[in-house]
Amino acid sequence: MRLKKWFNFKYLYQNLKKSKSLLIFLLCVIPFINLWMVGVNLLSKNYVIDFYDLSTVTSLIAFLLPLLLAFVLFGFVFKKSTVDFIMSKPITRKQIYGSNILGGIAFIFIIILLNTIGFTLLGWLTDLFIPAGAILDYFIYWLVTYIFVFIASVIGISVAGNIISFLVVVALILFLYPCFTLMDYSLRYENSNNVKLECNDEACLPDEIYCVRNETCLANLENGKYIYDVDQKYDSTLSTPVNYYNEGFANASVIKTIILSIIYLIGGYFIFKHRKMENSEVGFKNKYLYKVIKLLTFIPVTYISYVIYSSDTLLIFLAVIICISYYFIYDLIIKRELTNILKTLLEAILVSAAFMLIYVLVGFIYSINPVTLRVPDEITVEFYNENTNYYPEVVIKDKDLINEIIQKRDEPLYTNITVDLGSGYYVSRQITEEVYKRIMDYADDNNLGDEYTIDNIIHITSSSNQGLVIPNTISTREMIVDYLDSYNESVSLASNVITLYKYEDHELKKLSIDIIDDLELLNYVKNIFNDSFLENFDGYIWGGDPSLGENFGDIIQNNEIQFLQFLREHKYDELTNDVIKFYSGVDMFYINRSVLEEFLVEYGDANEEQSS
Amino acid sequence: MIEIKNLRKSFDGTVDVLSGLNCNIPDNAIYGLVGANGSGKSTLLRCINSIYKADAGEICVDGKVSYDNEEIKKEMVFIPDDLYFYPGYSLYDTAKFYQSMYEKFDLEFVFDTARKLKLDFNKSVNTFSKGMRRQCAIICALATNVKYIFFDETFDGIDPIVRQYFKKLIAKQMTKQDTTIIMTSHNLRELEDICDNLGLINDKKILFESDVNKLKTDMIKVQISLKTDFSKDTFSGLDILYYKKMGKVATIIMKDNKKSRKYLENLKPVILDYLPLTLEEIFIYQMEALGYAFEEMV
Repeated sequence: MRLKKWFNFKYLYQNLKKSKSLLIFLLCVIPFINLWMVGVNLLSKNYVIDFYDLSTVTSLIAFLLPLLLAFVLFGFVFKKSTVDFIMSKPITRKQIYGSNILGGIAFIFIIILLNTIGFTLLGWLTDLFIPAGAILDYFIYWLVTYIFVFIASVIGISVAGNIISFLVVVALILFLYPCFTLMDYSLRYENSNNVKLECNDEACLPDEIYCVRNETCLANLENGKYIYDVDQKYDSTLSTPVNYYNEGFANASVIKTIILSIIYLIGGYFIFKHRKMENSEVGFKNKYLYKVIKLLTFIPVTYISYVIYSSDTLLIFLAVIICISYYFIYDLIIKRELTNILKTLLEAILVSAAFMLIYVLVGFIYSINPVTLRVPDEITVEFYNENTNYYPEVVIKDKDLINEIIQKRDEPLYTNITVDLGSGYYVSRQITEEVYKRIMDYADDNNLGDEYTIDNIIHITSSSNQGLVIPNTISTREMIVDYLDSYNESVSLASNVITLYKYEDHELKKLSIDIIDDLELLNYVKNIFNDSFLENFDGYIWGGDPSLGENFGDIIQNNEIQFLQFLREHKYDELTNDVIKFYSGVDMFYINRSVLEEFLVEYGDANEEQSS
Repeated sequence: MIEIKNLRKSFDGTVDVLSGLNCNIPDNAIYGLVGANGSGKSTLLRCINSIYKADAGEICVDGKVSYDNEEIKKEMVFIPDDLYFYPGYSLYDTAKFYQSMYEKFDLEFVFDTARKLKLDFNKSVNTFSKGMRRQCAIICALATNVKYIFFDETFDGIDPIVRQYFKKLIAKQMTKQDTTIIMTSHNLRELEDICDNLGLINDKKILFESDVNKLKTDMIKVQISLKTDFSKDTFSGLDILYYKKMGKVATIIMKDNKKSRKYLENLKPVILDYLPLTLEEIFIYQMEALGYAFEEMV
C-alpha cells in the first residue's frame, strides 16, 4: 500500500505509451550506433577495447538523452492544457513524481543494459577483446551518470515554466559548479606565481644554489629554504560527466554522483510538490526566481568579459558590450520582451561592475596569499619510456629519489618528466640519465612487471606480429609471470614483443615486453604464429634472408609443395635466436636458420642439378 | 458537497484572481458558474481539482480537504476549456486511458454514445474538429461515473443539436448516478435550461448564488396598466426589484406571493399580465438590486 502512495503504474504506462515511437526509436538506434562505433575497431585487427572506446556515443548523448527523457515524462508542466489534463486525474503529485522518476530510471537502465549486453555479445562473437571490467564499468558509470543528469533535468523542469528556461536551469545545475571551479582555477593560475614548493632538505636543493652570482637562484632562497615554482594544473573534482575525459572512471566520482543524485531526487520531489502549475508557458513567473537565475547565468558571461579585459585593457569596450548584450538577450529569450530599457541598461552596468570587482578581489586575494607546498612523501612521475614506447606512471615513495627528482640540475639533461605533487599541483623537471635509470630501477623493483600476475592478465597479444592474439591460458600466464620475475625493464624492445593487458582501477593497462631472453616462451609464441601461418597460407611466400643465397626465392617457388610439407614438419621445432621469417601476405612463419639451410642444401642442389 | 471558504489565489503574488471566495455546491445538482471572461471561473475549477494550489482558504469535498487528495480526486473529473489528448490517441485509446484512471469507467457507454454521435472510434482525436474533440471529452467524462464532474465552457464549439443531446445526457447522469455537475460559461443562456443552481462570479468572489427554481418561483414579471395615471409609488405596498414605465404600461419585477398578486388585482388594472422570467432577467434584476450593473459583468 505504501508503494501505491508513490507510484501509479497505470499512469506511468500511459505516459510512456504516448511517446512510445520516440522511446522505441531510442532503444533501437542508440545501442545500434554504439555497437557500430565499437565494431568499427574490428577493422584494425585484434584491437583491445577499453572503457573510453565503449563510451564514445554514450558520452556524446550523456546530456541529450536524459534531458529528452525528462522532457518526455515531465514536459506536460510546460503547457496549460497538458497540466489540466494530467493534474486533474486521480493521481497525486507524489505519485506523478515517483512514477515518472521510476519510469525514467527504468528506461535509462534498459538502454544502458542493452548497450552492455550488446558489447558483451560483440566481444564474444568477434575478434574484438572487450575486458569484462570495462563493460562493468561502462554499465555502472553511465547508469549513474545518466540517472544524475535525468534527475537534474527533472529539477530544471520543476523550476522552469517553458523549454528555454528549463534548459537554462539544467545548464546551471550541471555546469555552474564546474564553471566556478574553472574560474577559480583560472584566477589561481593568473596569480600562480605564488604557488611554491618549499625545499627544506639539502638533498632537494638545486645544483645552482651554490652559484652565488645567479640572481634567480638567490631570489628563490628565502630564509635558508629554497623555493621552487610550481606549475599548477586544473584539478577537476567534479561530479558530473563534464570531467569525464579528464578523469575517466573514478570510484569517488561515482559515489559522489550517487550521493548528489539522491540529494537532487529528494530536493526535486519537494520542488515538484510545491510547483505552481499555473507557471506554464512563461519562463519564470516568480520575479525573484527570474532575477536569481539571470544573475547565476550572468556569472560565466561576466567572467569571460573579465578574461577578455584582462588579456588587453583596450578590449574593455568589447567586454562591456558582451555583458550588456547578454542582459538584454536573456530578457528577450526568457521573457520575450524588453521592459524598461534604461533601467535594464543601468542594472547591467552595475551588476557587471560588481562581478568584475569580485573577480579582481579574488585574484588579489590569491596573489597575496602564497600557497607553499612541502616536498611530499609520495610523488607520481610521468615520463616517456623509449623502450616500451609509452608513458608509464611511477609512484615513488623513496625520499632520496623524490629529492633527486625535485632538484634542479645543471648537469647534461636526459629527458623531461612531470611530477605530480598531489592536490592538483605539478612540477616539470628535466632529469639526468642517472636519475632516469634510478627511476627505471625503482619501477623494476616496485612497479610495472610485478603488477602483472597470473590472476590479472586478461589478454595477451604479440605487438610484433600484427597483434596476433596469444591464447590466454594458465600455462601461458605462468610462463610469462616467471619471465617477468627476472625481466629487466631496460631491455630495448626489438622484434619479439608481446603485450600484456590487465584491467585495473577502471583502466585498461598494458605492458610490452621483449621475450627474446626466454627461449621457451619465444618458441611457444612463435609456434602459435606458425600455426596461424599454415592455417591462413595463401600459396605465395616472399621475402627471406639474402645471406641464404640469391636464388632462395626461386628455390621455394620451384619446390613449393615440398617446402610447405617441410614447414609443416618443422613448425614446432625449437627456435634459437637465429630465426628466419617468411611472409605470406601479413602472416609470418618462423624457422630455425640451420634447419632451413638443410632444406635449401637438399632442394637448392637438386634445383642446380636440374638446371645444369 | 463542495464547500469553499475564503479562497484566495494569486498568480504573481501581487494581484489576486480569487479573493475571499466562499461557495457551497450542493450534492446531486447541476451547478452553473457564470462570470465574465477572466473573472476566475476556470481558476476556481482548477483549484477545486488540485491543479492549482490555493494561496489561502480551504476547499472541502465531502468534508475532507481536497488538495492533492487521491481519494477525493477519484471522484472528480475535469474537462477544461482548452482540451488536450495524447498525440495519436484515438477515442478508444483515450477511453482506455480514462478507464485506467477511473475505477467505475463505463467503456460501453463510450461505445454507445460515440456510435450515436458518429464519432470514429479509431481515428486520432487530434484530427477531429473542435466540436468533435469536445464531444469526445464530455463522453469520457460522463463515462467515469464519478461523483463530481467539472466542465469549463462546457458546450464550446458544439452544434445546437448535439448540445441538446449532451444536456439530456448530463441530466440523466445526474439522476442516475447522483452526480454533481459543475459547469461554467460566460453565457448564462447556455446554462439556463440545465442548471438547478447558479453562482455568479465577479470581483474575485461569488457574488450571488441560488437555487434556480427558487429564484424563478420567488420572482415574477408583471406588465400592468391602470385606468388612472400611476407611478412607482402606486405600488409601494409591493417588494419591487425593478420598475419601468413605458407609455401607459409599466413592467414590474417583484417578489411573488399571494399577497402581492391580491394587491395588484385590487388596483383594478386594465392590463395585468404575469410573465415568466428568464434566468438572465433574474440575474440582471438581482444584481441591480445589489447595486451592480449586470450587463457589465457578463
